[in-house]
Amino acid sequence: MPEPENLCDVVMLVSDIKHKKLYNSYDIALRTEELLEKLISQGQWKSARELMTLVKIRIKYITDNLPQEATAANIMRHVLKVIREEYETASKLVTANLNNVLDYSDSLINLKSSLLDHLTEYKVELESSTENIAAQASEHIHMNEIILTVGKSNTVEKFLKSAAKKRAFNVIVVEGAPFYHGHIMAACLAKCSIQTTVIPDSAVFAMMSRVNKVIIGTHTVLANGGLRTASGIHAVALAAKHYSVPVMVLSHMHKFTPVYVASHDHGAFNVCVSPANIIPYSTGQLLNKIEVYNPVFDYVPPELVTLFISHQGGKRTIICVPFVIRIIPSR
Amino acid sequence: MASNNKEIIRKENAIQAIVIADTFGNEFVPISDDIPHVSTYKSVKNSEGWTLTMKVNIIVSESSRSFGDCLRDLDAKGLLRGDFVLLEPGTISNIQLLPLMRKHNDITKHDKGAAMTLIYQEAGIGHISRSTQEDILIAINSQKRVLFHKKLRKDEERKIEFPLEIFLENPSVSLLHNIKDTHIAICSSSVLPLFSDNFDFQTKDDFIRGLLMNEEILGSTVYCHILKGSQFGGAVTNWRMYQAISRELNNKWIYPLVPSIKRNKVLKKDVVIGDGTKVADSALLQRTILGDNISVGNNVKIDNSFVFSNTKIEDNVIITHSVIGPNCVIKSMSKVTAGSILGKGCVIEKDTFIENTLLQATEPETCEDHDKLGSKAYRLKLDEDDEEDKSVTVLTRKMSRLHIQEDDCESECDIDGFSDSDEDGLSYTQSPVPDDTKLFFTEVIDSLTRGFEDNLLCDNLILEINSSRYAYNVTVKEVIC
Repeated sequence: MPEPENLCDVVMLVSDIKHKKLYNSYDIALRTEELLEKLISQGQWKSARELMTLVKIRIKYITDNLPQEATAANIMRHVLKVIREEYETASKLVTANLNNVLDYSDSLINLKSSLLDHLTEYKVELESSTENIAAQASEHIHMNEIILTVGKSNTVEKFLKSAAKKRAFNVIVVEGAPFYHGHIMAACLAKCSIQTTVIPDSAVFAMMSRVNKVIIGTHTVLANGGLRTASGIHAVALAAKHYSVPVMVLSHMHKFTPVYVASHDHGAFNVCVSPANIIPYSTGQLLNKIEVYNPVFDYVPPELVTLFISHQGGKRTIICVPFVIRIIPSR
Repeated sequence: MASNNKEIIRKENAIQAIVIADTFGNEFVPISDDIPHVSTYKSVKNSEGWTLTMKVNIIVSESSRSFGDCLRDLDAKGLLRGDFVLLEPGTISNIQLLPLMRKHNDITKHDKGAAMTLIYQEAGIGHISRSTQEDILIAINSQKRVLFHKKLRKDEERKIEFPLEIFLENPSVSLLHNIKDTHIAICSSSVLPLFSDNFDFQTKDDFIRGLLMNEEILGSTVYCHILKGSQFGGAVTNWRMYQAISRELNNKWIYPLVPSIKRNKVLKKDVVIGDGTKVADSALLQRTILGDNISVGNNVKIDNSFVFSNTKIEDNVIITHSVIGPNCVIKSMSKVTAGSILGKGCVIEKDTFIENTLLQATEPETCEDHDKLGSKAYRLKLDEDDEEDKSVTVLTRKMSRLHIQEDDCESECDIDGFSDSDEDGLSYTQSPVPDDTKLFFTEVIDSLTRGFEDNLLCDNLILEINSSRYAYNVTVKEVIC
């Protein structure tokens, strides 16, 4: 077992995520990247294998303590892949013998600097990812269309604002009870003079027939192409299916996870937060007899998703669901 | 008794807090006898990651005998500067303290004498977390200044007298009873000197009472803040609160503080089991929390109870509304019921019936024969300091050790087709209309307590009970059962 002191970077990260100091996935992604940069430049490792062990221990710690949090672990997994690739290219330069099976144990001089270079590049990619997704907006949103979105997502907000620069369209925001992030979203959109309407979750089905496209963000994309996303979106996706309205999901590459869903209400899949938003604590006696669940996430099965819009390495990426299953092979 | 005060200092936002770690009471005897405080905190400090985000100093003051002594000791040591958060023992909460600190700061700008902001949480009447010992009533003005503060006790008189001045001096006064104390308070730097100046302040309640009574002399005021929404605060002050807070923790009221996921949905409602615990298929568990490495035998029934680690429960045991300490053995066919607390390492022999008893494994100094239940189980009697209080405290303790679910009696009402929950289901926070039987019951308890205190004749008491029986139309049969 590693000493807890050695893990203090990741312990801090987990505690910040738990205490909501880091809230959206973008901040988590950047913090994780910085953590790894520090680990590579200052950590105690001599060979690629040792570094990989250090990263793997951190992945294990995060998945054990925050089973629902995918972003941090995914970025670490990506860096593992980067380490392997960089090692391979570096070792090819030293020895031309390709018959050897790589065991990543040689200490290569250039490895550290090339890894750090790669990470800086990756950081830029993370930082620009939202803009790059937003840049594709005009291909998907057309004049006078009615777009429906749920709750608040930074990526969706940027996407709609980017489209609004060129075109006029209507946005319907579902408020997303009991957290009502939709209200904030609508206020942000209205500031950019986008025609915005807020509707309660119960009105989704009634409004769906008028909607041209549903555009949503997501928390994670699971290995089967299903979504772990804000609660209430499953109902929206079913309504969209009923009226054959396309459902587009904006997702950064670091949200694609190699994890499958075991069951919807499984402890590791969902998070239940304080029921105070649903039924106030001051209700009194009734609370002695009931148990209230306030789940944060919904599982949306892959057949309800039409398209994923993402971005990687300077390329625009549009992925259909069956392809998700192929790019993330099962483990 | 040793006490540990932990102090948290954060540079940028400069939140500092005092956590008093000793309850200075015997609420948790015999379980608390086996837990040495200082070492527990030191080991926790080393194993958990929270020292990374805050700085914790453990201060031991051996001479302190009360909450007030601790604060006087801290004042003498002169460690704190500026505002701080004061947490009483056993506090658990997810409150965002920073906005509250700022609010307190604003108040002190307007009112130089503001010494403390008490934090309360809205809680409906009849809720499990409202323990009878902590029922409070406060009066506040429109600036949220506390004008009147009183702890209500069930067994005290039902009339409350308010000083007339509070209504004369303030254009608007709100009386609040639908709240519970979170045992968290934000204090100005004047609090510690105030404790030092007034040697009779032993608890926070003494402090509030003293400040309200001598407002002119001390020139200090108390404010309050009432939490709404998803913020939660509470403190384990007695077994009943332990039960209530465990239940709330389990039901995610204190999110993001949740028990680590080991929730077994196959078991009946509200069951949490620890690592390495084995439960037989035929065992029935309800609203129960089991620690690590426990074995539960066949046909065991555990209801509304807490079992600490490494305990062995053999076949056909029934445990209800009890707390079983670590390393106990409960042999087959035994029954442990109604608010029993077993200390560390008790062994309950076969076919024993235990009701509302405190048990410990070692022989107490004054041991009578009938107190010995086995070679490792001795009945423990709490020695009361005040003779006059004795009957009252014993009675309240009996009534309150664990919250005995009204469900049991109410489910019987449901069968009759009359459930009062239907009627008050829609009216939030309003207290249900007490029915005659309940009124009768409380009245009988009142007369019995008074009779015991005043040494009334038994015949007179019988007469009294009979008369209340007629007044509330209760049959003899109901009285006997």
